[in-house]
Amino acid sequence: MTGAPQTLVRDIGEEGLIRIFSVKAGPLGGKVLVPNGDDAAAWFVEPRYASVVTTDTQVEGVHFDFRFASPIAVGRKLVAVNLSDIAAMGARPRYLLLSVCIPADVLVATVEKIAQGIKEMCKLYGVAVIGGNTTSTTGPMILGATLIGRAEPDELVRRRGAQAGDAIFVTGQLGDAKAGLRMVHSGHLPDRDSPYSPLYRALTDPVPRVEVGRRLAQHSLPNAMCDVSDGLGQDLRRILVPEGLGGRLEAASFPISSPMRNYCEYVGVSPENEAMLGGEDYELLFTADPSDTQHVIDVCSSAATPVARIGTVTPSTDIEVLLPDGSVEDVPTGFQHYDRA
Amino acid sequence: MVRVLVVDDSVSDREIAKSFLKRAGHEIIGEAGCGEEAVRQYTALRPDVVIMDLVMPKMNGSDAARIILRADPGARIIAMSGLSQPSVQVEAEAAGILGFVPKPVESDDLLAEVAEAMTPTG
Repeated sequence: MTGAPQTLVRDIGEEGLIRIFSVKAGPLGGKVLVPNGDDAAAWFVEPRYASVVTTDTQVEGVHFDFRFASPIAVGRKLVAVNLSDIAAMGARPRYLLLSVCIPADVLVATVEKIAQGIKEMCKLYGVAVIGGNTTSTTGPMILGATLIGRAEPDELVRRRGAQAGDAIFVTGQLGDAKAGLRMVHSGHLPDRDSPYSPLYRALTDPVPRVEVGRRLAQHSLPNAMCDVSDGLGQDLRRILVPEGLGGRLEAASFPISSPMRNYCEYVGVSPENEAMLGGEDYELLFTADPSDTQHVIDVCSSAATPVARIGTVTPSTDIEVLLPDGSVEDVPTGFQHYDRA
Repeated sequence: MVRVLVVDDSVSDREIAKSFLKRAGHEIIGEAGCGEEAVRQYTALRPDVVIMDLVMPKMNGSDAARIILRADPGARIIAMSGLSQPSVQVEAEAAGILGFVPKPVESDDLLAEVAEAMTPTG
């Protein structure tokens, strides 16, 4: 499509890059007044819906490394992390804007694969790419995306709203991506058929919980919700402490996959601790009235999504965990950008 | 008016999709709760479009789509799925499904995909 396999970005220039990232608006085309290719995009505002907007950036060397992640997976993850934010608001994703900074000496074939990953995810989740910006850089590759979604105003779920006595729930499994990151750091990546490959895939190709986020919101079940991007401990603090609340978690109820448990045993770390510390799970963490527990389970089941009740919201600002040996400890904090540690 | 076959093991999700399609003037010529039944109904009814859930017990939506497309490469199949598992995404893409309507289904998304599927390609 763009010539020899060794063609570099500098050989095709900005116009060539724009062509690579351009994509037809697809089924949403009827709602897009001005698609990509103009100075700005325009779409018809949909009456009765609130627009929900998020943005996230993936930086080479910080969030991804081509030695460990395929360019397609990098593109998919760029969209997935934004989808996860929209899911955590209980909203439906609609439109995507890209902002990419790509060094001139990157292979065009690599960029094409990144764009392929972006387009795959957009197709799967019914999202139209409506515009963006490309620029050169002398630093690492920076891939940014802004995702616009919609929700009925009374179905939006915020981080604020938890109540003392609420049950704390989390979807899926905790710590798989953290274990995947340990593999990357160790330099030993699993083969495709390895029992540990789901852990590596959880890190490089996460599945955003869009359907279950929408369904929970439609049933008005969560009082507060966020996605687990920086670790259970860190993200739980973000929804509880500003409200003057805390939480008591029960480590025995943490959803931990068999590959994760086995890998932790292999490397000699506590799976429960890894579950609390791990970042990039992209699961949904939410609180709900404990009397709604069965309803929560049923709604998650209708979206083929596992859910676990892992603790209770408490009236103090302590975030504690009851460990399997009966002791109680503070929940460790997960990942923080600019952490001086 | 488009003649549609709706396939989903969830009765409530099937009813929601049917109501959106009917309200838009489309005709529901059949419905099925599993992949096997979807293949049988497609063969008997030859709908214009199939709306197919991907995650179903026994034969899933991707397998059913593959069988239908093998017999009729012109079949227009749209997936209706929450894509909660990565393997589901991969299988659906490989099966040759035309488009995806994210669950829980919203009317305008479903109708836009049906219209897109019925648009002749150059």
